[in-house]
Amino acid sequence: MTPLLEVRDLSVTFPTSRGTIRPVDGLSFTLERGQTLALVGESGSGKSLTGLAILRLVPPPGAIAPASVVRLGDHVLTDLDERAMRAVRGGRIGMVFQDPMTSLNPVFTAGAQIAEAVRAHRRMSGREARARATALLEEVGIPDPVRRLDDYPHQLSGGMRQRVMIAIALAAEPELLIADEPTTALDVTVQAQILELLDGLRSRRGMSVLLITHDLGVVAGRADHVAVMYAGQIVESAPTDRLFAAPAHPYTQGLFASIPKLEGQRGRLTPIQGVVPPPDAWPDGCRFAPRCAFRFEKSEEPPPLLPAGPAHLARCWLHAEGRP
Amino acid sequence: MTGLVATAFASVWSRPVGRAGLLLLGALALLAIVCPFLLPDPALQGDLLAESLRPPGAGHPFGTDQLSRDVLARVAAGLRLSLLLGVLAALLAVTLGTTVGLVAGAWGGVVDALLMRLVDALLAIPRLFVLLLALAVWDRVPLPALVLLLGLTGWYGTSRLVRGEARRLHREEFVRAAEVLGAGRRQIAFRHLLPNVTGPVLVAATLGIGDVMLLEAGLSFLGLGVRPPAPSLGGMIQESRAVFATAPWTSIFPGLAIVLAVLAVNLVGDALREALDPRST
Repeated sequence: MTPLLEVRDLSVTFPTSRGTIRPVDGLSFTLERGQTLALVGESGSGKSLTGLAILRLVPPPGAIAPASVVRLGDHVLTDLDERAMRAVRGGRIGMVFQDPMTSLNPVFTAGAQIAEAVRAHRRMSGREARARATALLEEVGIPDPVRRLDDYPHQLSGGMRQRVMIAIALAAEPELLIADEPTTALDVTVQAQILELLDGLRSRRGMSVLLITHDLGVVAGRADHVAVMYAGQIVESAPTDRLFAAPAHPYTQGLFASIPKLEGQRGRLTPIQGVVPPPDAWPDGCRFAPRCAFRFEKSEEPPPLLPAGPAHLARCWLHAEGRP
Repeated sequence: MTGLVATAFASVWSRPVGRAGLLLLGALALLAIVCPFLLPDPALQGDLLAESLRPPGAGHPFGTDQLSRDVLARVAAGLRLSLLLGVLAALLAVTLGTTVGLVAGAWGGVVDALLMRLVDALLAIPRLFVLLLALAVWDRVPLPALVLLLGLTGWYGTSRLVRGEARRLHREEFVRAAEVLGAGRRQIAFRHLLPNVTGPVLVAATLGIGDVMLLEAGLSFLGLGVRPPAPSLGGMIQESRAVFATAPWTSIFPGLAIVLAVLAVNLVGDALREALDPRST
């Protein structure tokens, strides 16, 4: 079976006064139906821009490079005209953002916004749309949904608003849900509930989820596959279990070392030194080299994605043939 | 949106300044609407010798003018015309300004730049000159034409205000959320942004009414707005200039009507601004 989403060589370019930069640079990945792919990276890695690029909503003056291909099922999204693309947005792909405080229009009730999303892609009467909105609120686990329909966003808690956002994204029964840091702005207890909800919806609806996050903890047990992004590129890609058991890229290892652990040895956390360099200052060779403890002569050249195990790739010369 | 208007009205009413403005405006509007049914015809001339320039008193609470017409009836009729003109012209101006502002704000880029440069150019043309020129062409200006002229020359400020608001709102995440749902620019402008700019637009509209009323009074005083014998507050003051020393009531009452009406409108506008400002509580 063909994968639901196939991204090949996706690049996003931005013109700047000092030449064109590529905050997303040659990204390729696939996402199977009913599965969850986690896109993990620090801020500035290009992960959020990737989500927007799939929907072709890169903010101007940014643009998607001509060679990029995004395929959803049988459709090549990168070839569609704007009109057809609008039908895909919300219709076949739903998206949830980080901050539920600002993602809802403050002057409309929750019910009105869900009903609008329902009617945007399907002809139905106001009454039917309202009934559908009630059912959606119920599905995303909002108690007393009929009463909540007439609440304005400011009357809802953060967790509720994120549930409403998810209901809106689900309104047209999309095949793919892009969740961009869906829990970052929420309380820890609510985070788990929202992740649980997303996972439940995925398995019930047979939907695919692209989970964009900076938090490896969010990924554990919920994603089938993980792609780690650094400086606009995927630096490591592996099934989730495999990645957690044997991270192959020094950057991924660094990410794990900077997560506090509940059990085991209680040594100091070892954060990765430095920050992600901005897109106009990426090194010519391995982009992680300046922060890498294992760098060597070969790091001066840009590494390709090299096999590091079954279904496991790492963009690091340490995994080149002939090295231990 | 009707909800917002009702809320705005309630919160203006809850402020002392707003309540004073609303009461004053209500009283003047009542006078303007009811008087034609109760008072003598404003054009009715009495006995020219016996009835002209009578001081305020029984029968003529505001006195009579040199043509022995009842000043109160004329003030009421002038007020009605002035308020009607103010409301209609402000409505036209605000509709135009809001549309231009929303289009500029939601489309951005070249469209935004072109529209705003157009507004810059229009703002550089003195409004009074345009009006004087246009009105000089007409011997007797029909009321709809006056509404059109005042409305078409009064939308620039609103368009800038709305454009600024729309640009700011356009960066908000709920606009991204709408785009992600497949909304086009037109939908974003008129379904998602418009309801969010109702507040400032309402304030601009209210204050615009006062502006138009003052302009109309000024134009009529110059003899270019509403022409006699149609009663206009500005025109009445003009006509009674010659008798101001001996019969001050002929100009004081229409003058007072202008001042009070514009004051009332501005009080309501200011209270509205305060009520809708998110930074005040």
